[in-house]
Order: sequence, then structure tokens, then C-alpha cells
Amino acid sequence: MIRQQFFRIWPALLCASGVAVASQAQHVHSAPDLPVLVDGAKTPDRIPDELAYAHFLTAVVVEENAPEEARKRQAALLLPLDLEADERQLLVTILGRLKLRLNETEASLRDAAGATQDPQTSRRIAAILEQRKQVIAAAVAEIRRSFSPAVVDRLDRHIQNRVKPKIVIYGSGN
Amino acid sequence: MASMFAGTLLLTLLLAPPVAAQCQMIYNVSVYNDAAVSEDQSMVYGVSTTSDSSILCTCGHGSYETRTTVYAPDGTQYVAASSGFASSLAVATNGRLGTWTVTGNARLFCSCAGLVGAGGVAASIEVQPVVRIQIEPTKQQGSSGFVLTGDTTALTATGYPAGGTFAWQAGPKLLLSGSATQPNVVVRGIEESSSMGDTWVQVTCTVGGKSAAASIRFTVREARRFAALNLGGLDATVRAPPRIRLHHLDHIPIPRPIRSSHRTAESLGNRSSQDVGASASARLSTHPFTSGQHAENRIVK
Repeated sequence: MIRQQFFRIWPALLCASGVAVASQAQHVHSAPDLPVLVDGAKTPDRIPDELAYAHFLTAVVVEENAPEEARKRQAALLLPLDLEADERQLLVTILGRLKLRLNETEASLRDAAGATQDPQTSRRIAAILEQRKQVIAAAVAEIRRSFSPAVVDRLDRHIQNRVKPKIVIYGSGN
Repeated sequence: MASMFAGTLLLTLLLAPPVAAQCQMIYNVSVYNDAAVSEDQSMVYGVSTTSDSSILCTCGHGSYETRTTVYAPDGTQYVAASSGFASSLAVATNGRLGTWTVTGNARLFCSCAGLVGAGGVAASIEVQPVVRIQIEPTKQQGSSGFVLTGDTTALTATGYPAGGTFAWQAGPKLLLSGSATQPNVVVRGIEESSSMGDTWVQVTCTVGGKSAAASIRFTVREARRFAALNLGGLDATVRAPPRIRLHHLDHIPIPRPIRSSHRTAESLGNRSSQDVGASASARLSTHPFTSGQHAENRIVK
């Protein structure tokens, strides 16, 4: 009984004292698969809008001169938005530009990850990941500016109803 | 004894140096999987994306890899992996109807912990037969169709996947002409609509034991204005008269029943003509038979 209580309070004690379990490695766990933090299928409201947009746009970005198969995939993924031909063309143009910028950030990330690991490299990687988020946020802002409120509303509803339930956040803490 | 131990431990922890002040690596990796099917149901697309919002501290993340797996209804599995934050896959449905499932996994290398993985959540999409109705181009009103009374409008059904069977049905005021099981049919207007789109045409397409239906609203219209276009002079639009007379001159004088008691003097001439308007006509006789010519009257409301 007392032993059970001890095991129950042990994690709480660790949290209260602020001791990291793996303070040396600075990782909470080393298991290959991260546990689920938020399952969008169960609690879509806990998926941030910004994150959902980032995932959706990453899924649908295609260079404008991409192979036909990629453009067909993009068309199929954009189909639920029910866009008119001119609206679709405008979105495809914005997504084409976004793809080029995302390619640049991914190239920077590859370069940074290949460098010697030190605090400076970590900061650089963090900065690139942040830059990636900003690039996507700028694209979202451009979409909101470029389309009618009705189209933006349809896109928002697609993000809430279709995209968020298909996102799962994994991790070691909030 | 145990409570003493716990108390000692608590004291030790509380007095320990505040190592938590150091930055602590926190993973936050999200995975999104989605599936889409092409408009003609011929291709299924699976896509997976990864986002990394981890607090890195002194660790570095890199070598991102995203993997997409698509499972067909028959159990066949297709896998694609790409370096970076997105991966996708296109698979031909080849008539495989039913539920297609997409799973995705993210993998990254953490300089502090080595390879780390996340993902597995499934997205699914149903591939079902789809059928669409195409209306004869000049008989469209938005997504609806129309037909003039006594006239016909051609309709074509296109079913996906190909090879399905069709079954057409028409609502009141319409009559289907031709085989109702072929992709191409015509509908005839038999009674003027009382309001726009007050009748309908539906087609059902069945493939592999599964069916899909499509329907369109239809209006039976009555001609009330005529346009004379491209006749060499000025184009003109005139109000439709209450009666249209079509006069034909046969080359072989065979007695034929008169379909109407209204004939015109002009119709006796050696030509074929179309006489529009009751005022231009003259009532002659009501012979049951005539030779060499006949006339049709059509009352226009």
C-alpha cells in the first residue's frame, strides 16, 4: 500500500523539484517512437490553427512546373475546396511560390544538420525551423488577402473539419 | 519505514541544485496523413507531412524522413519515403472499390538521442462509383437542363470506373426516348413546367455491385419568342405567334390526311414554306384529304 503510494508520488516529486529525468542527455526518453500528446481525431480543438495550416499547405505545395502526377495529386487534394478555375489557378500560383521557399529552408536545414553538433548548430536549426513556420504563415496571410471571404471561410472549415482530425502530435511534453 | 524513506527522498529532491533551470529538450513532432481520390476515381493519392516544433536546447534535429503507406481494399500495400517533411504516393485504383487507407510515419535524427520516430495514424477514403450527367450544351441552365415541349434534349452519362451499367429515369412532364440502359438518351418535353426545375432526370450507374446515382433538375419550356439569326439580313427576335404553320409540298401527289383544317392560299404554290402568324392565313376548306401538300398547325401558348 505504502509502496504503491510511493510509486504514485514519485513522478510528482520529480516534477515538483524540476529535475529532468535525463538531464545529461537532455532528452526525456530515448524510445524510438514518441507517445501521442494530442490526437486530432479525438480533440481537434487542441490542434493549433497554425500547425494545421502548415500541414495542409505542406501537403498541397507543388512547383508550378512539377510533373503531371504531382499536379494531379494537388488537384485531388484541393478538390474538397470547391474552387472556381480562376481561384484554383491563383492558389496553385501561391502554392508554387511557397514550395520554392520551403525547398530553400529544407536545403538550409540539411546543411545545418550536417554540421558539427554544438549549441550554435542547434540554435541555427531552431532558427531554420522557425523560419519555415514564418514562410508558411506568410503564405496563409497571402491566401487570406487574395481570396474572397467565402473562399477563405471554405478553407478554414476544411482545416477545422478535415485536416485537424488527421493530425497527431507526438512528443515528450507540452 | 517506507514513509521515512519517502520523506528523506522528498527532502533530498527539494534541496537538490535547480538543474531544471537548464534548458530541457522537449519533443513536439506532428504527423498529418490524408488521402484523396481523383475526380474520375482512377487514382488514389496518399500524403503525409511532418512538422517539428520541438524545443531543441542544445540538441540538433535533422535527417527528416517522411514515409507514406497506402493500403488498397484488396490488402495490397504501397510505400513511399522521402527525405524532408512530406511524402506522397499515387496508386491506380484499377477498379478496386472500397476503403483505401493511408498511414504516415516521421523519422528524424536527434543529436542527443539518435533516431526518433512518430506516426502511424490512419486516414481513409472511399472509392465508390461516380456518375455524372452531361447535358446537350445548348440545353443547359446552370447545372440544370431544359427541353422545349415536343422537342428533345440529349443526355450522356459518364460513369467511373468505366464498364458500368446505366439505368435512367425521368420525372413528370418528360419522356425518355431510346434505351434507358445506355449511357446516351434523349428526353422529350411533353408538358410545360409550372416552375423552374419542377421535374428531373436521374441515372444510376452500377459497377462491381456498387451503385452511384446522379440527378439533375429539368424544366420543360414553351417557346414564346423566335430568333431569326444568320439569315443574311438583320438578326431579329419576334414574339412567337399563337399558331405556327408548316407547309410542305410533296413531289408525289398521294392522298394524305389533312392534319389540320387550317390551310393557306400560299401553301398551294409550288414551294415549301413556313408561315408564321394566323393573320397571314386564309381559311379554305376542310377536305379530309388533299394531294400534293399538307399543313401542320402548332398552337403556341
